[in-house]
Amino acid sequence: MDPDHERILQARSGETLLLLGNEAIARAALEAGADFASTYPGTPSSEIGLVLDGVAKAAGLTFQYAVNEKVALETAAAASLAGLKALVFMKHVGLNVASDALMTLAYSGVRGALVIVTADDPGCHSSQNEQDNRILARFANLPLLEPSTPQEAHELTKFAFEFSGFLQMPVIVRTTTRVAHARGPVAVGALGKPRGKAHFERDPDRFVMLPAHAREGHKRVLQRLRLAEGISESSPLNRLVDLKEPLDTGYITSGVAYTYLREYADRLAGKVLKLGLTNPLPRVKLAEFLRSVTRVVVIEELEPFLEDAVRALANEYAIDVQVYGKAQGLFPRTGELDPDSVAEGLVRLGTLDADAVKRIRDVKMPKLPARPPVLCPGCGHRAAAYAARQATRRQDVLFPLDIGCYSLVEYPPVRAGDVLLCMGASIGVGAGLAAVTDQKVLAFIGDSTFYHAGVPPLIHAVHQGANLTVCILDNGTTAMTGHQPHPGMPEDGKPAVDMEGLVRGCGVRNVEVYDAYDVKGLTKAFRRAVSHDGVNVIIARHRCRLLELRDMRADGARAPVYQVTPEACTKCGFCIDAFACPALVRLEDESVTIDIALCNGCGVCVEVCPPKAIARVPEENA
Amino acid sequence: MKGASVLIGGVGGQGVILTARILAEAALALGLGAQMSEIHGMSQRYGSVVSSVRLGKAETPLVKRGEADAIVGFEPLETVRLLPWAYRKTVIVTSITPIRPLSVSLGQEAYPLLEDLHERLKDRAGRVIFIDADRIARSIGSEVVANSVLLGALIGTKALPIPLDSVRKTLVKHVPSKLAAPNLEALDIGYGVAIQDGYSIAFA
Repeated sequence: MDPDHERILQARSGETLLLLGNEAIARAALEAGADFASTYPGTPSSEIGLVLDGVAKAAGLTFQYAVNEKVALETAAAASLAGLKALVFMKHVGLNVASDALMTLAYSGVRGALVIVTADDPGCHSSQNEQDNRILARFANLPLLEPSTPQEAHELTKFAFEFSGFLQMPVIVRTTTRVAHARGPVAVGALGKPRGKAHFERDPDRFVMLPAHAREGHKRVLQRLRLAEGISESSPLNRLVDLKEPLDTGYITSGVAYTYLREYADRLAGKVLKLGLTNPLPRVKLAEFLRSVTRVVVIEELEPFLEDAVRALANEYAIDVQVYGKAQGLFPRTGELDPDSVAEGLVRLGTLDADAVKRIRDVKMPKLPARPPVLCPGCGHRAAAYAARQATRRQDVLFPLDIGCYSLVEYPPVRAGDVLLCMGASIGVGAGLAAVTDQKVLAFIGDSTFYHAGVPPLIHAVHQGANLTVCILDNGTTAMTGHQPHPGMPEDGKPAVDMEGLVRGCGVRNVEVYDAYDVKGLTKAFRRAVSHDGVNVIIARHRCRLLELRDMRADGARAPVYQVTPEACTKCGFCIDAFACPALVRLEDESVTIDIALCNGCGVCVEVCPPKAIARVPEENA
Repeated sequence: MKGASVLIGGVGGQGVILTARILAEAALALGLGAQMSEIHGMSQRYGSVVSSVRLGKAETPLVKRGEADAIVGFEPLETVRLLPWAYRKTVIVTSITPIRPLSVSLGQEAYPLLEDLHERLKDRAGRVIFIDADRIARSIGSEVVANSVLLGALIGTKALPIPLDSVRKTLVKHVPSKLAAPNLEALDIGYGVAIQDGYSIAFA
């Protein structure tokens, strides 16, 4: 077992560990006695799964990496309907995938308990959007908890299990990157005892959502929500914190924004309503708070979720109070907040002394070259995308892209990206482009993403007779999020679902498999495929180089070493200008050398180099 | 104890998060409060990475601009990127080996002159220690211990209330056992570099 995971499992009640918010959530689930947990990996939620997967056997918990978030929610829902305690977690956009199940599950409710963690990503550190999933909780009429710190992530997750069990409805815990990926001291409690297996008691009036039952279900969820509102009114999760006198300025805040406000607590006058349970809102408590102040400042990340509710409430109860926040542009509606942006807003409003932001203003920065992420040296995705580009460079070819490490092939110099939307969309968008244009279309999708959301659009493309080439970049793992397994890989006695068989089963006749490092073979295959009618699938397969190297090191082996023969290098620069592996370095005289420290020894550059100036160093000299 | 705020910046894959973790765990083991922030996912693929650590009482692991007591840079450009967080008393420890971003390799942008980067650091901060951490790491026989050289130097500046021994104890728990010895060696050398830095012969 990973030593960190072992520590999380073994910690005794009362002990304080330095935990990530995500690790705190995993520990809380173990303390709540969760029987079942499922996820599809996604930043910033992934570490919950890494921990639970690591400790599942020892803790007596059933853990599954699901094929996608919808299936994760459905299986976890089933566990709770059978009377067990279940946890399901995903990144914010994952809840979109699961939302079909979510909206109706709210009607049927659950037994046991079901806690849904959504990890939002303000600032798009590792995401295609920064949607605020608090709105999804309100949309689905589900209770919502917003922790501010790793310690609170622990407390609120544990509470969420009790809350869900009491209400008999799913409860959503919403974190953001700075909670999920903050590491702080967390005092842990005692571990719970999972029950293991259950027996499903039939109750079709509740669980079979025929229209007649669904109408009742809608009433039931609203009735349950009223119980939750009562709890929200009296819960210490929604609490008043006094600052200095005078107390006529109010601050309303939730989640990580609360911690940023606290940074200035000793310089601010007024009082704070700190909200941890934000759907349903404690309307009476809020109205009382609004009546007790002359102005109120709402501080929250992303959408004006609380701010709009506060303004509506003040209006409804005709409370004479000024409401400040995003409406006046004090705080941005896009990106993350931080202590500085909160301070800047408060200084503009005049509740915080300008001294608090004095140091922010006097920085003159030179323009520095940006450093966006790039594919690792030795990555098979680079080789395959390069081959596709080379094969089609004189043609008008569109490249719909998908979600994963390979999204990075959009960056120069390969630039093999025209549309990037969401999981599986490369094939759906590709089929659409094929239907409405005369341009050739070559879609890239990763293996895990293909299983997740690529199969239905592939069936669609075949059925519609789309002229579409799909390249499945198969690195045998879910690499971006931390190398989680997927259904195409055998693990722990679970059978693998064969990719080629699946593709053929979708009706694709033309399926070819190449090693992703085989640039020559792939180039020819891409050239053939794009001029061939119908759906063509090319699987470019090479195990994630990071995993290969890890295994090599474990075996005491080393990756091969390559070098440029200086006399042979014609300084054409092609290897960098077209392929751009980070290990290739242009020297001052325009010749190229290989940075041994960065090189992962894939050897693809040997094929890329036009004058064939790169060669493997014989092992005895390496 | 008065708190301290530290920023550690570098290129994804250099060990920024692990180094921050060791610092935070060492502080926690001493009974100091400690929090840190990490960014996972896409940025770990050779992009700019920064992790913040706050010791003592703090509400958030994030460091306010102009309030970092110490900055550790694993790569010169990435060190300079953190300058908005420095002030006139900030202690900066930085590696001097550039890693060129892709835009520079492709000739779309130029890597700034190292002398200019160094001047900018010296202009703004209280004390700057430039360390050829990679060369020291190679001399130990393991390129991967360069971050321990820099961590050692940070501790050697005495900018933080954490003694070298505490970091040594924490470090061995967080690196593979095979790499414990070279990491400790790197830590000690880095510490020594910072102690001697700025003194001709005698040092305080």
